Amino acid sequence: MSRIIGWLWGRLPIGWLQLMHNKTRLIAAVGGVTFANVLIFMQLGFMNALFETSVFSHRSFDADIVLVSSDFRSLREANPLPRSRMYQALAVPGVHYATPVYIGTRFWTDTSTGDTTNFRVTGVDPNADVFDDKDLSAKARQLRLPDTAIVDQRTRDFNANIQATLQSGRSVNVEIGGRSISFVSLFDQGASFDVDGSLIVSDQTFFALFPNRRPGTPTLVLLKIDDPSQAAEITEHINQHLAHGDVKAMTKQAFIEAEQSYQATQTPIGFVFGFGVGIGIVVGLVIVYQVLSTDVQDHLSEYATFKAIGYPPRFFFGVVLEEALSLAALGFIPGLVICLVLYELAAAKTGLPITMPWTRPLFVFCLTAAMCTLSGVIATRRLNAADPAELF
Amino acid sequence: MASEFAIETKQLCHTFGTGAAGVRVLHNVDLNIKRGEVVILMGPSGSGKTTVLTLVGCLRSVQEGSVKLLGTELNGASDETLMRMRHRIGFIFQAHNLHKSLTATQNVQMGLQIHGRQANRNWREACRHMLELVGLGDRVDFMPDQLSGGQKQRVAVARSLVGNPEVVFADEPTAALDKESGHRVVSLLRRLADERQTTIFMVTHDHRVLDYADRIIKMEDGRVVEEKSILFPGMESANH
Repeated sequence: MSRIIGWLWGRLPIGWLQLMHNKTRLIAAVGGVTFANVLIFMQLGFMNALFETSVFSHRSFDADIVLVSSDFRSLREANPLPRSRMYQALAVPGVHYATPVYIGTRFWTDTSTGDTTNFRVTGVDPNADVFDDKDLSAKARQLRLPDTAIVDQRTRDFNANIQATLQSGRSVNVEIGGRSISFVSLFDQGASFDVDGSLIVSDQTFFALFPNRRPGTPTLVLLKIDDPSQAAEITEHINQHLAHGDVKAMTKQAFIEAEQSYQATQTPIGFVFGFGVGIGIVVGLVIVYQVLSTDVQDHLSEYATFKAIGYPPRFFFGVVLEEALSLAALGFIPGLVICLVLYELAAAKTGLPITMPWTRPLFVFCLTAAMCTLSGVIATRRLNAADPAELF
Repeated sequence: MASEFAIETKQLCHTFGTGAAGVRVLHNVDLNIKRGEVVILMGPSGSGKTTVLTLVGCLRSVQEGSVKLLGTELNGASDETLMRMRHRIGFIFQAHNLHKSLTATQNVQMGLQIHGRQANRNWREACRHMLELVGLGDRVDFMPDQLSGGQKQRVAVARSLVGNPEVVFADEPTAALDKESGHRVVSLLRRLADERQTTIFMVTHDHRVLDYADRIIKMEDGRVVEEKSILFPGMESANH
C-alpha cells in the first residue's frame, strides 16, 4: 500500500507511514470518522425516506396534470376546490379525462389490541381509472359496495390476523369514525411520517366517513391529456383558462416536487435532519483535528529536521493532508458497511423506505474528505512551531 | 568557482530580543573557511558558537554584518533563497531526530529525496552505500526503535551526507557516541573533505576528535579569541 502511494506521490508516503506506526491513534481516528459517517448516513437515510414516503400517494395517481386549490402546500393540509373547475379544465383542448379525489385522515382503534392507527383515507370513483397500478384500479371496483375499504398492508404495526384473513380472501369488519367499515382487500404502499397507513374507499363511503365533506369539493382533480409530452403547455393553458384564482394546475412531477419542497423547507423535519448531518460533521472534524494535531505535535523535531534539510512548507502541508485523506478513506469504508446493515434494520423496524441510492456514498465521501481536509488545514497551523534553529 | 571560501563572515553581529531587553551574543565575528577545510569551533556554552552555526547554516536571518555561504550573500536573502541554499548543505545535530515511523533506509532517503526525482533514480543503492559507509550495512531495514543511540546517530549522519552536501554543519556529532563510533563518524567527515572537497564546520567539546581538524577556532563571549592551525590533521588518530 505504502509503495503505491509512494509511487503516486513521487516521495516517501510519510503521512501514511506515520498513521500506520501508531495503531492506537489510528484506531481512534478511524473510529471517529466511521462514527461521523454513520451519523451522516443515517440522517440522510431518514430524511430521504421522509421525502419519499411523503409522496407515495402522489406517485400512485394515474394523472398527467393535477388540479389543486391555489393555496396548496401539502396533501396533509390541502384545502378542497370547487368541482366546477374540473369541468372547465375538461374544456381545455388536449384534456380528455378528469376524475375527482377526496382526501382526509381518520383514526382507527383496533379493539383487539388497543392500538390506534392514523389512516389517510382516499375517496375515489370506483369506476374511474385513478391509480397507476392497474391491479389497484381493478381492486377499486370492489368498492362499489358501500362501506368497504382497501387497506394498505404495509400500514405501521398492522394487525397480522387482519392481514392473514384478508389474504385468505375473506373480509374483516372494523369500526372507523363511528361507522362500520369492512376491509375487503389489501394494497401495497407504506407508512409515512404523517400517517401510519392508507385506506382507499369509494367517494360515497368517503362522504359517510367525513360528514362535513361534499361531492362538490374534492381535494384533488386528476387530469389526463392526449399527449403526455405536452403536459407543461396544457398546464399553462388550464391556468390561463381558470383565471379565478381559487385553483391551480400542476404537472404530476411539479405536484410531487411541491410536496417534497414543503417537507424540506416548511416543516422542521428538513432542518432537524440537516442539523443531524451537521453534528456528524462537527464530531468528525473535532476527532480528526485532535488526532492530527497531536500527531504533528509529536513529530515537531522530525519536521524541524526536515525543514533544516530544506523541505518547503508545502511538503509538511502535504504530509498532513495525506494523513487526513487516508483517515477519510479508512473511516468511510466501515462506515458505509455499518450503514447498509443499519438501513436494513431501520427499514424493517419502521416500515420506511430507507434505501441507499448510489449517489449518496459519493456525496458522503466528498463530505468526509472535505471534513478531514479542513481538520488537516487547522492542524497544520501547529507546523509553524517546528523551528529548525531550535534544534541545536 | 565563485569563491575559494565556502564560508566567509565579516563583522557578523547578532542580538536576541529587542530594545533595552536585547542581548548581543555575537560581536564582529570574522571567519574565513576554505572549501575542503575541516574547522572545529570550540568555546564554553553561551559563547555564541551555536548562533554562528545557525546563521551560517541558513536557519536564522542575518541581522548585521555579512555572511557568504558558497559565494551567496545571506544578509537580506529571502526565505526561498535560504531554503534553496539548505539543499546544498548538510546538518548533523546533537540529537539524531530520526523519524520513528521510517526505516533506516527511508530516513536516509529523506535526505536524498529533497533533490527531486532525478536524484532518486538510484536511491536504494545510494542509501545502502551511505549506510555501509557509516557501518550500518546490516541494519538497513531496521526501525529507529531497534537501533542503539550510536547507531541512530550514524543513520542521521548518513541522512545528512547522502545528498553530497558542499558544506556539513555538525553540532556535537560525537556527544552521543562511544569512542569507536565517534572516530568512525569524524574520520568519515575527514575523508569527505579530502576526497570531495566537502567543507566541515563542527561545534564540539570532544577532545578525542580535535586532531582531525585543519583548524580550531575558539570563541568566548561572542568573539573569536584564538585560531590554531594543525599541521598534519588526522595523523595522530591514524596511529590508533
